[in-house]
Amino acid sequence: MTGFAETLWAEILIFFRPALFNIYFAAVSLAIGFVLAVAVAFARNGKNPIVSHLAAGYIYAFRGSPLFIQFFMFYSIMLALNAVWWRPLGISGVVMHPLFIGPLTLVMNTVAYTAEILYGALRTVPRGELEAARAHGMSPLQIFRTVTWPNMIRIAWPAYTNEVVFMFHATALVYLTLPVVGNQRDIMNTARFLFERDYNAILHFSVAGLYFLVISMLVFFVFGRIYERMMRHLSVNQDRPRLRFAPKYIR
Amino acid sequence: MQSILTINEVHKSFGDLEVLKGVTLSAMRGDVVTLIGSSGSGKSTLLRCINMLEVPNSGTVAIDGEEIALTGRGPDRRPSDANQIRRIRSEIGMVFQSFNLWAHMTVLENVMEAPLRVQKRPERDVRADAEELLDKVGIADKANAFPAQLSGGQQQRAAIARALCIRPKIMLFDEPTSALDPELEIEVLRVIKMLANEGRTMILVTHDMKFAREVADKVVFLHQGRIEEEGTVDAVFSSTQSDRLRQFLRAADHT
Repeated sequence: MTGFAETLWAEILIFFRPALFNIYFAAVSLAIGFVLAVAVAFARNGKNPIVSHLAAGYIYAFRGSPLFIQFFMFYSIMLALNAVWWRPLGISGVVMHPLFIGPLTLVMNTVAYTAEILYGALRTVPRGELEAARAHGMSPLQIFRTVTWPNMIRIAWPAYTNEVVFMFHATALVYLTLPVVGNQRDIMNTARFLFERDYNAILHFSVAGLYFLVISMLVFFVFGRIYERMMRHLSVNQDRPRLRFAPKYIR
Repeated sequence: MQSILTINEVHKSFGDLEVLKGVTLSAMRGDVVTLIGSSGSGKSTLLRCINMLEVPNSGTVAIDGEEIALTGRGPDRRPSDANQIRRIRSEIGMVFQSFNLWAHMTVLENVMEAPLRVQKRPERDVRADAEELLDKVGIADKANAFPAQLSGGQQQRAAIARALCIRPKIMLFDEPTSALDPELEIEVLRVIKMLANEGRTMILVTHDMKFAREVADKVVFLHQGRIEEEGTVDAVFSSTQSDRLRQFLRAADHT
């Protein structure tokens, strides 16, 4: 049994560095993707029909096709442009690197999903609250700060938590489609690499899966706590029950 | 004395439905004007035209002698000067039927938001004002509660404090008690009555005839988008001229 525990621990340590790659892909693409998604959601919700349709088309294209195919397509396009653009410009090394293309593709994908979530939330921001803000003489920017944003983010949060976890899982596709540079491997690629050496699928893929499970759990926990905090205005009990340190000896 | 509110020949349509068919109305400083009429008569729409939550298709609105600048025609008519409309709105307090408090902010934050952000008054002043107003409407102890933790009556009183905190020239009330249970209605009506007695200029849309009679200096009866009858409480309620108003009052008595 100690032998098994040691093997397992050794395996867990092996996957630590690869996990950082998945975290990097997810963190970078979610951070950039969220900002862009806010813009796309507002474009989609805006009054200008051309802009709104463009945003809708973008969202449809990236939600309607598999991410796996998006990776292949985008990589082939970048590869085709390599000879004519990137190499002459001398930026081939950066632009064609998986640490660049990976997040770039993921950003395009998460922007579509997140924008759809935010757009849905935007449409359900309480009309009355918006009207009260207008009636109080607020400018569009002030209305955004006081009413639109706080409502939108609260409505979207549970769905966005899902998107964060899905995006993290989707990082497993990066090195399935893009070339591995040097020793830069993520969890999935490491598992495959180890599997091809000794065919111990159960060990390698379970530990790989374990990393996804544990990190997902952390995301659920942290995002859940944030949600609880954001929604405290709806808790009806003003005084939360607290731990009591006054034991009742006499009753 | 100059009138503080002048509504001149206001028309408003939603699609093919003409809700206001040329309404002219004015109020003097300190007047309490109640708008009555059956639902669909256009009284709420008229109220919302005062601060341009609805923009009239034609006609003008002037607050304290200053006409609100509008541009465009028909359904595309819009306030043409964004600064002017924001400034005028920040001088008009509005209380809604469904309170419309900002749910994620505490009562005190709700009351302080517009004076701080729109009027850019110093925080210490605003806080003192807000606390005084919450005390005045009787919910000082709820300053740090969220709207969802209050009863409907308390929420509406918070909304009244929020509207008062911008130091409005005119207060608009859009059926302020229609969403409330009768026992909660009383506390809100008491606050509104107190404001009326202070000599505030108020325009009030209501279903409650008894209340309309109690607070009003002037009663305006709207019927199908037109002013059918207007005058003092006595003139409108006791020596009613139009048959429609008589009919309306008789129906209202039975509810």
